[in-house]
Amino acid sequence: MPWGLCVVAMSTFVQISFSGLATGAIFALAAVGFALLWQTAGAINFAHGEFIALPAVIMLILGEHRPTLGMPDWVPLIGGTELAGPLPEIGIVAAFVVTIPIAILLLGFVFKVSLVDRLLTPGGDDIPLVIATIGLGLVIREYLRLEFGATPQQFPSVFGTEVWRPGRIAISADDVGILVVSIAVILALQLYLRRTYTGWQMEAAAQSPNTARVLGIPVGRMILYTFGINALLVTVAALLVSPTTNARWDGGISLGLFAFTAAIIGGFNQVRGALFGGFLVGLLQNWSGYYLSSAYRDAIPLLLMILVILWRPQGLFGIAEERTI
Amino acid sequence: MSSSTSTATGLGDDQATVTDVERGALSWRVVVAIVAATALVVVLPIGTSHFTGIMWLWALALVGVVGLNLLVAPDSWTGIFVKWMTLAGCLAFLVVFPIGRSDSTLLDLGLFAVFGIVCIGTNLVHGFAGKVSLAQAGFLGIGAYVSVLFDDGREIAIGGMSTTLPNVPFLLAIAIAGLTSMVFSVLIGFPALRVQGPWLAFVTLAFNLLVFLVLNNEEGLTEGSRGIRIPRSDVTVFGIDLFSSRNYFYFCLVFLVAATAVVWWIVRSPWGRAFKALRDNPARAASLGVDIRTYTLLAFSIGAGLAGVAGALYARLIEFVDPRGFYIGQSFDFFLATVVGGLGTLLGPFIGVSFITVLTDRLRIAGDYYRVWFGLFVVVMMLVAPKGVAGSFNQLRARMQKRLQKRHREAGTEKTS
Repeated sequence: MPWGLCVVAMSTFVQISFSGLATGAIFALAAVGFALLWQTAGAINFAHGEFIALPAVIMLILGEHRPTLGMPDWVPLIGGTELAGPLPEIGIVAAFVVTIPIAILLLGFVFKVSLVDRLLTPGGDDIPLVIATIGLGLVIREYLRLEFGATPQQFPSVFGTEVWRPGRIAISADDVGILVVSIAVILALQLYLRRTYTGWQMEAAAQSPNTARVLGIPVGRMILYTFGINALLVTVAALLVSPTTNARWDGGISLGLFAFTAAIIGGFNQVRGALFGGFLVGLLQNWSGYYLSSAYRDAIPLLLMILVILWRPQGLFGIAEERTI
Repeated sequence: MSSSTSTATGLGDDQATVTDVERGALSWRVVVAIVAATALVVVLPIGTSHFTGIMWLWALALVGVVGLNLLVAPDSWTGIFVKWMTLAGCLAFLVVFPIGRSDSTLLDLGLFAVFGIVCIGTNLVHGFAGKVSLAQAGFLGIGAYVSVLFDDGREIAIGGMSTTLPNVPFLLAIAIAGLTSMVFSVLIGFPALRVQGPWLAFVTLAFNLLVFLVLNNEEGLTEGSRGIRIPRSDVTVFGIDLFSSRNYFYFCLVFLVAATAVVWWIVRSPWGRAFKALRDNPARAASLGVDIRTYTLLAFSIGAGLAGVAGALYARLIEFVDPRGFYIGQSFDFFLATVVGGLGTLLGPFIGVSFITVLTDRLRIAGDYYRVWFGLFVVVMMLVAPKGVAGSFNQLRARMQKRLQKRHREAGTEKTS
């Protein structure tokens, strides 16, 4: 192959891999939250994708006033006054900050107390929670569609739309920002879990709830923290993914599916596994989309997931555990 | 509503309820239940075009039938008589009701019948064999497209080659559709059924999405997202023209009844006992020599086969196929409907499928928000009555029977003493 062609091929590969890594980073964020819930609470959340779609819409409502994205009718009724009216247009970053506590309350606390705690009995069947979260996903999806319309809403990128062109490749500021922020968030989470006292307690509660309880660790509160962390992670994921996918009512289905896929491929019982799984899914999607067929870019990760579940259920990077399957 | 359903819910739960029987609370609970049921049936259709005088009659009849089934002992001769009369009445209703109805109503009823077959399959897989399958819409799609491929003179092209399949009679096309779905289900089920619970759900979900991607992208085979129009005008079976909506509904109804009969037979046969043993305690069943894998694979493939048959019927019912009808959201719908109806009961799929077909338009009080309410209903149901409508009915009836018997006994002992 002539040298020039080789350079072109290489730079294409680098560019595709890079944007694959950026997509993968978002999958990783979502997958880490998903795996954390499974690890500590044994909860499998089929509405995980909708948990990402919901904060995206909330951020748009709070951050930008769009004619189609008004407050829902019932919101002003809460205080008896027009809540939506005096709200300033605060921009997406401030909206993100405001959305975090909302998400932690709704998707963390309320979700845990009202559904997970009631449906997940120790040693019991996990299917009731699966059914209920499928129902919950339906509720969120359909509600978003009815309240805010079926058209995808453009979502501004925090990192701007700049594109750098070093050599032959083009790197967008958005991709760089996504990579940096998600790796920073996951590193911070890992540090928190490994280096702080609360982090140790959480690990202990996840690894062996009974022993942890005997040692005086408030296991219930640790599990609650996990739900809070998960809510935080999905909000960050929503902020990062929405500029590329737009805020859509049905965006959750495929996003959630790829979060599961990443978590399963990487290994459920490891934050590290979910992280690598996320990157792998993102890379595979982009590679197969470019080199094989753009129509089947989603198929390769799904096939890999099926193979992993069947032949290496603990995941590629996971550690075999007796109870996994 | 039948003794077969009560045997199917598993004896363990009925026994568990015996312990928390409260004394002497029978009468007011019956009153509350009947009043609540009446209120529900009467209030929900208000504000719809269907709220006519005859609605009251239907409502009364429904409440009466449910109440009667609740009160008689299911195993007594009266109980068996009431059960069969109820079933005959329901069937007669389904036969008589379509006469003189509009095409859109008949389309609704047809969807009820076709999706009912799918839910009967889901119920067999999940309710009886205890395996979560989220690929039913995928099997529905395989069945639908396979039956379409056999349409007169349809040219199909795969990888540069193009060919025309022979035009086969409709019944044969339905059989081929069902068999193809079964073949696919064995291919995916043979390796996948080793894994349990949520993991099987993920595998089947991924399979469904793969089917969707193929349907959406293999344009030579499926025309992609444009879909295929598939008119019913040329379809005859045994010389009977199925073009009229009513005839076609009856045709689907025959399959619905047949599917029910098949599952009823399976549940009562040694197979069915093996299924129940598997669902209730897989380890014990395995130690007793039940070949877990073969039996679950059988249930899984029969469930998929029913979905495939339903797919062939569905294509001609709406006279159009397009990949979006077989997306994973549709699988979620079938799954939730079956759960809401009542897993592991013969009646459950019928109740459940009503929620995703005929009721969607009838319950106008919920308006556009119908699906939101349906989702909430599922969530609340999992919290308060996880056995679904039919399962809860069976529990309620078992509880009431216990109380009635007790009262009977007490009355007897008073007389003798």
